[in-house]
Amino acid sequence: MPSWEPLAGLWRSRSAALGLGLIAFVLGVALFGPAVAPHDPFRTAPLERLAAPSAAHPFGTDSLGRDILSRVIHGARISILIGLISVSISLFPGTLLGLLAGYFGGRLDSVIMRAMDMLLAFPAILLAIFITAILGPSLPNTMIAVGVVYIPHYARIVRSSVLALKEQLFVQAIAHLGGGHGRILFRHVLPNALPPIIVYATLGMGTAVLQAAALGFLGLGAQPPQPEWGVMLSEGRQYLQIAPHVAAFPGGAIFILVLGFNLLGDGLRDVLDPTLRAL
Amino acid sequence: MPLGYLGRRLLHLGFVLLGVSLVVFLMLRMIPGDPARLLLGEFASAEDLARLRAQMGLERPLPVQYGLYLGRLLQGDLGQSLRNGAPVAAEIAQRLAATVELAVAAMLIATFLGIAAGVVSAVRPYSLFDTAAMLLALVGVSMPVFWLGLMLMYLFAVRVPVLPLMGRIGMGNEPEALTGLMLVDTLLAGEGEAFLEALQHLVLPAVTLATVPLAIIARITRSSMLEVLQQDYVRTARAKGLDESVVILRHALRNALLPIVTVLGLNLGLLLSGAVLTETIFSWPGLGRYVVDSLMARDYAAVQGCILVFAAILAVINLVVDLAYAALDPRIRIHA
Amino acid sequence: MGAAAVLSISGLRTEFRTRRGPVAAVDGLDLELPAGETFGLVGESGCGKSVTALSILRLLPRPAGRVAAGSIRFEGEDLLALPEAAMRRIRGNRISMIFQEPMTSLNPVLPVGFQIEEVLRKHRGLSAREARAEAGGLLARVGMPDPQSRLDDYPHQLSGGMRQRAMIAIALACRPALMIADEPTTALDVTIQAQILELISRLQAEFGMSVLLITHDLGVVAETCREAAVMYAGRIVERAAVARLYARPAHPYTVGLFRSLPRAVGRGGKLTPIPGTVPHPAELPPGCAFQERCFQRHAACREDPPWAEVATGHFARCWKPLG
Repeated sequence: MPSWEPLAGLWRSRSAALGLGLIAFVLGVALFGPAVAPHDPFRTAPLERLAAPSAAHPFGTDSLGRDILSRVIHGARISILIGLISVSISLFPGTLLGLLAGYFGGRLDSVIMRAMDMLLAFPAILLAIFITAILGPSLPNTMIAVGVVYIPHYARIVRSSVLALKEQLFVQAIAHLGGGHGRILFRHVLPNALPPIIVYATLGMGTAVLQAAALGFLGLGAQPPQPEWGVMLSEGRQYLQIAPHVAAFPGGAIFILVLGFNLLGDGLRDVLDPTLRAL
Repeated sequence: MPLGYLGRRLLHLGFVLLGVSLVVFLMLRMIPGDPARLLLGEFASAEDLARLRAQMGLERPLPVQYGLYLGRLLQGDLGQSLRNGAPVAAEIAQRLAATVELAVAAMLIATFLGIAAGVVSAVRPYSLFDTAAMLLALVGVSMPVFWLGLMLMYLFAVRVPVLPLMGRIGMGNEPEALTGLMLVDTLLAGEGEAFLEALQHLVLPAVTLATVPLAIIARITRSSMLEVLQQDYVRTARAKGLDESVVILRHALRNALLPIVTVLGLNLGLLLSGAVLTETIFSWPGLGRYVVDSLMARDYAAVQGCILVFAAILAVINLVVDLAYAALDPRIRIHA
Repeated sequence: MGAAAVLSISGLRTEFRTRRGPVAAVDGLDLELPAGETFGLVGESGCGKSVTALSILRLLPRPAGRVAAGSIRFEGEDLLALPEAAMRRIRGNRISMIFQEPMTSLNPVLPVGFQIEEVLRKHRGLSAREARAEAGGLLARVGMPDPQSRLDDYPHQLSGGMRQRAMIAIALACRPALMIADEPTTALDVTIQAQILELISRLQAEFGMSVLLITHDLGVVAETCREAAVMYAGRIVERAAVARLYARPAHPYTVGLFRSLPRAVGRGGKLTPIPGTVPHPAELPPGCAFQERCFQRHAACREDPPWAEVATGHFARCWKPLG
């Protein structure tokens, strides 16, 4: 079993604590924000369009007079969901493929890993773009696209942990005692391969949020009038010269959430798996 | 470098490209509807459709279709653009140089500044410089490229208009396109002013595109250098009485470069992805913007062409990285 | 001590920063190295012998280690007071050093020849071509087979013994007054060990240089040195001509070292390890550092024992020296 004792070290790691704080803040906004948001994020007010930040609209209003603060608050929920769902889409198949490839080796290993190499041959965002283009632009399709793109990363990481573990005596001993493959894989190998997966998934949440926002920005992800941060940025782009706040606040929100995941991921890596530094 | 190593890497490159073409081929077949109509558009004539169907072998089994597809690719035929009927290969060739110029500029900025910052940080760990640099690097890796681009644009082209808003050069100042690289073409034409103008246009997009790789390179350089500086051979170098700059640059950095080069290679994919966003923001007439425009127009022929070219570029870059790695590390060069 | 000293250390105290505050790895060390011969410095790992060597060259790991007090006089100057630039002119030139691990002490990405030429160009101002010729000559002198073609080899292409020969060539390049060899044979096979020791002895005589041979192995000292000092917990506890040291060790620690050495005990004799372990430098008892492991400990050991001459040229730091 992996030792979870080092997790206590997280509290001593300033970067992890700060990251947790940022994530908790955005999570709190996502959970409770919509209830306390000052305005309806969809209500347009043509007379108040592109208003600069003020007491009534702390983040100002957009080109349709909608309150940007309220939209950013509602957007938190979307971005957190994007992160969770996209990472799940890459995490579960990727882990399973990595486990199978590493544990059984041989033919299965080469087939799986060659397929993963093919996916890795594409620049990430272009593959995501291509997949969304095929599926059609929408928020769920964005999550699928971003998820699929990162499957090979998890497969590789898990496979290399499994290969290292397989050499260790306790797995061989269990195999000799007649444990079934499934039991060995999920009860013994997987738990020991977890630390790098946790680190990578945390950093991956940040990447997924960024990628999905980029697709939204390009018009391939969430569609207006959804208050998705990338979409809002893209709307703000047209008014950059007269109303920079329209683009500034949603972008700042993306930055804060991604920074949170990166800080936490860095902290987790230092605590759980110092050998993973190169990632 | 023995030819065997190069040969094996080239063979590997071939396999990767084959795989890439297979993935693109299969994905295009996954789009519901008639692939021929997809590639020719709604208003194609019945004869054109019939001809393309025959050319693609749509009534024949999938492996044969893939064979035909591969055959066309090998002849450099990426199909015709849906929007204007021009050959996609030519459209791409026309835009490639703009992307190359932007990406090279960004990579130069990221590599030099990133390695310099990482080295200084590692030599003086936990100093004020180190703390500030690593904080900035963390900010850099968390930065949405498109947001950074827009904010830089607002600051330096709108608020304090010292740099141009978008494009590669002012209207009417375009030099004769010899290489397609604006900086090179203006120099070849001997137009100093146009060169400066092109340079000014390049600054914001290049800085935007460079930020994330710069931050990553600075971080990896620092950790790699910190590790190398602990090594016995660095102590040996100091025991030889060498100047500290020689110890750091010749003995430590050369060893630290190995992981840095690996990360550089991984980041070039990121750079290409970033180029798509940066070009869109700054209306930079390169491949990245072309792929986005093509997507908006549902021009699948153009999109698949771009994807193939991007993947090919990435594969070639990875080959170059592998070769650079071998050149840096005698252990690989001699035993591989 | 007949010959003049090439290097004299007095009152050396070297500290390392730890979580529990500064800890002295070497404390109150005095040592005179005789010129023109090989001097042995013996002790268990952790006794501070390597730290002493690194203190001499001012190569302590930074920022953790630092020399807190003392002086190290060499060729009329106090090394500890020299500016860094002057110190660099001494390192690799007047005082050179070879390390324990030939596997990791050479730079893996530079050819061996280049690593030798570098010193020659830096300290002797040779041109690239002169340096290369000289480097080939040096490799020949250290017994490298086929020296010219080895110049272009990388360290990973050489065996452990050949790498140590290359290290010795680097150390020898500027004909130093003093060569410090820190466990130069510990990482090598037994047969190679003997060759390297013989090489060091031969070169010492040829060049008339002084050698400080640091080792944990009393057998190595017997084969190479005329005189030796024994170090324990950051201090010298005994010093004598090697023949005398082996025949009549005076300090109980030295006696213990011999009793735990198979060769010294001889066939049929009984091996007796020293009880206990080397104390952590932060937890030294007051007075004699060895008292808790000593077989003849008594009340006086709580006071610092004097550095006393037991016989002519034979010193020990003990209240009740034997022999």
